[in-house]
Amino acid sequence: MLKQLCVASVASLLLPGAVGAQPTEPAPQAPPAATATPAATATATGRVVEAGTGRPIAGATIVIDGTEHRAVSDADGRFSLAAPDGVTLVVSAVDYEIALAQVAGATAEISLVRIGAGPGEIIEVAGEAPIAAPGATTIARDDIAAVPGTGNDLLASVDILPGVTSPAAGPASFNGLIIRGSSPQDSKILVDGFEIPFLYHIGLRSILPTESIDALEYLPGGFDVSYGRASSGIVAVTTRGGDPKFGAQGELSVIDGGLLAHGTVGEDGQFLVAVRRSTIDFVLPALIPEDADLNLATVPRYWDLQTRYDRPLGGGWRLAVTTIGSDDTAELYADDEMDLDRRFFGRTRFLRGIVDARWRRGEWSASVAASSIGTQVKFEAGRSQFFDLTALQSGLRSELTRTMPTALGLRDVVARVGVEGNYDRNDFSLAVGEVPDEGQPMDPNADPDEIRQRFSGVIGVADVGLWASTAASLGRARLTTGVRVDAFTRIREVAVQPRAELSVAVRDDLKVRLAAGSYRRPPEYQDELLDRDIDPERATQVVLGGELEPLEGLKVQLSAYYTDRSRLLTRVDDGQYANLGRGTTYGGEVLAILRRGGLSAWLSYSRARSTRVDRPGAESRLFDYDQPHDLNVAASWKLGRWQIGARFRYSSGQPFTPISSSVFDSDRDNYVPIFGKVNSERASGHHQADVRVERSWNVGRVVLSAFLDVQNVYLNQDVVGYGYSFDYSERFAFESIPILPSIGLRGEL
Amino acid sequence: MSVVQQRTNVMLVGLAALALTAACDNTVPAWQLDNDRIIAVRATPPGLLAGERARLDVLVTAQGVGPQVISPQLAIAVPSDAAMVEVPEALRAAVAPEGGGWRVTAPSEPELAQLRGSLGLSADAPVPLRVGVRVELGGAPFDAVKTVMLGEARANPALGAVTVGGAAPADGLIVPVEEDVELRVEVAETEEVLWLTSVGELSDQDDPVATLRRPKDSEDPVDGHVSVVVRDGEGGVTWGFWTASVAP
Repeated sequence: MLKQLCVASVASLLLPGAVGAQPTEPAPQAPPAATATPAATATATGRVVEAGTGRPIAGATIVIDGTEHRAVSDADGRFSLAAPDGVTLVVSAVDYEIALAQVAGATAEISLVRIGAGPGEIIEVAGEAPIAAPGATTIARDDIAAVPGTGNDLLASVDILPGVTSPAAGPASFNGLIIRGSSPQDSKILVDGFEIPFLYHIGLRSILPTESIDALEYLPGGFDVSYGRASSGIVAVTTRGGDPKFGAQGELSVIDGGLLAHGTVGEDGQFLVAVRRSTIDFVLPALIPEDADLNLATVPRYWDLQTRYDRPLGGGWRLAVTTIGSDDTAELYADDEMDLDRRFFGRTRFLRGIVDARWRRGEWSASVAASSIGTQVKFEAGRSQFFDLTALQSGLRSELTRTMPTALGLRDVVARVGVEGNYDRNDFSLAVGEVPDEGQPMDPNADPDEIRQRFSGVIGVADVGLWASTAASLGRARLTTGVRVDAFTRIREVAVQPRAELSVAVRDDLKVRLAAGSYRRPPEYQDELLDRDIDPERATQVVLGGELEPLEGLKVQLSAYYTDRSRLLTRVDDGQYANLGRGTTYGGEVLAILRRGGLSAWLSYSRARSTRVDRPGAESRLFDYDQPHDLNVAASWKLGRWQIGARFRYSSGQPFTPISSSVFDSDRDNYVPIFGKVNSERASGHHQADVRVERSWNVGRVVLSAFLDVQNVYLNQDVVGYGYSFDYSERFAFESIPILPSIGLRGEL
Repeated sequence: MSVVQQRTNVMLVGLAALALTAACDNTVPAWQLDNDRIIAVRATPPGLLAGERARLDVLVTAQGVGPQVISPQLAIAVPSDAAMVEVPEALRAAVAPEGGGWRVTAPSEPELAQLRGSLGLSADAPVPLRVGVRVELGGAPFDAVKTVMLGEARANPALGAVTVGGAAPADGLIVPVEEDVELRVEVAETEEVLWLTSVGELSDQDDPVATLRRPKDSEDPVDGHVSVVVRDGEGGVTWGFWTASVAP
């Protein structure tokens, strides 16, 4: 991960507020608090050049302030130095003024600071921040264009990471993420520190185009106290700030098309605007066979929109205002005569606004962010079932950090405190059939007119979270400890969650990390909100990880984990919930990333087992999302104007509960399925290969790129689930899409 | 927000399931008569006063044979819902073999009153007796359940006027190729209809007026049946079936 360095002159440090206010040197955008990582030693690399000329300065000395740790720039002005997050670098060279640079954040931003009135030196520093937890990974925007099969979709690329269940495993993973065998609701997807309600447009594309994302941090477990309300993993997305240089780009493919522009507003403001609309709704009708018993009244259609405005506020503060919106609509009839009994309509849309202010001065930094999101979800199935929700959520999040080079005989001491609060107001109206719980098989032929649950009303949910942590280094070891306290007011529960991580740099190229902690997931899914007498589900995670750089450009991460889950919600005989379940998940993961010249290659493999006991004395069974094997191998070569890539993936099929027989109900003229053991069978494994070819041209000032991204090139069709005949005497397979090509054109100004 | 996510999941799963089902379901349709299964279970009568008796019979169809009415090989009282752990003795004793078939005998009024009390029913409510029946077709067992109401008199509906192609049906119906044949039955508004056949394809088979069509390249038998089953929604059922052949 590239690390951001805030660079400040001596003069600016002596004059409070001067850092962010220098008109010619825009301060770097700070990452949201949610993606800020606890300080830990990492390798910062950078380059010292002369202002104005760009000439490299050889022999410049770079020292970590207050320590003897130093480096000297080479003939090209480059240096590297083991430097923890938050420390200050003192940069000096003969004939030049001294400059200070602060290792500050998580993402690649190059900041330029002119020292004094005359030409001084410009310091470009890019560092590699420590990975936030053992087994965690960060993907930068530029990384992902190289991965075939993702359609240049950064969020979709998450499934190449170890521990993430491939979307090919089944439609249940269309939304949310399945991390380390747990249910999607056990993990959170955050954008700039705040949760978003769904990740994908109709399972095809993520709601944020890659060009509007700065980086994505994937934390499959062992994450620190700044994240709460999740018992499995976190995906934290940082949106991209504007750019002082005006730029625009447009892209059109058979799936969607979009426009993006960025530049300056006024003297020191920067903006980014992106909008996208599906095009698949123009293509899809032509692909449906005439004999298919299907009528798309409204072809799946989506929009999304992102805006971001950044500017310094003075006094060391910087402001970012972000909006994210999405709108999906689909209406279809599983009947070419548009029988209302076979109608399905769905619309989901939301608009989130975030105001984020950040401040940094010397050893101190702070962030304050406020956000609101309005959401509407509406669906109708057949003549009787419907779900209508209008929700408004408001949240506040703030964090204060102090970074000290030394304290109490320890090095690189970082202390943090934070607070967040959320209030959800959900206005529901629903009449739905059976919605299965974890492990509960669903009758695939259930009568769509049979209503099992009706509700109309407003539910308010307020939660508050507080956290504090400290991190410090001693010798080659670094210890981070913290505690998080969540107050789930609706269920009147306070959860104290201690977490810690020990990291030891065994060698310069080998680090071993051990993290352990307690996590809570409040009851808020399906009808869990209606029951105020249940507790949060608990997880205790232990993660052991290693990070190795055996060769230049090659990084290898290994991790092993064990998660003990308790107080899992189980439906008891009276239909109410009770915290009777227990579960365990354990496994191992490997991730290797090679970057050398024009070659980028990824290898990830995970081995996992996830089991659960629904109540004391019950038989152990697999979780719905248990996935023993998941392998991804991807490589991409950049050859001049060509970029060619290929990917192969294999993942185990999803467990399912078979239907062994049925009983005919003569009075109702339907069949009642008799289920076998829960999750006792598994769909066949899924494998496919994807390729991507891209070529670019310069046409005047515009860089044009044409790309072809083909998923499943050898037309492999695997079973992703089963349907049954009306009497359950026959079973038929739902197969994966045989091939999904995407061809498109992108222009960049 | 999580509720939204979950609901969106359900929505997407539903959408995908509908689309996939439409694309992938090549299984035998519910109107097909050329297979082995139970079509309906009949108790005559379906509702009994104390001490009255009802006969059980089953409309089945078998591959290559077509519909026929038979007696169940086995009948037994089964729990009426998931909450009923054990079937009360008075209900178990109500189902018994008789003359090669099976009959249901309603318990005495005092026993019915006791059952109402133990099942939490009001004093004048009928007591539901859920009967499980088993038949053997093609060497394989087939199970069904049927509810007989005890303590209340009920009758099976009479089959209304039926027309096939505008005429009253009789054995030996002729089904033309590549032509729509109207199937019509007169029913009360509350009654539900199911048309079945083995000599063509049906549309609107759940409606009083359905359409039968024999495609030119059909691989279905040329000799088979047309059948209709009418349920009154209160446990009563009636049916009719006729032999049919595809026009040469």
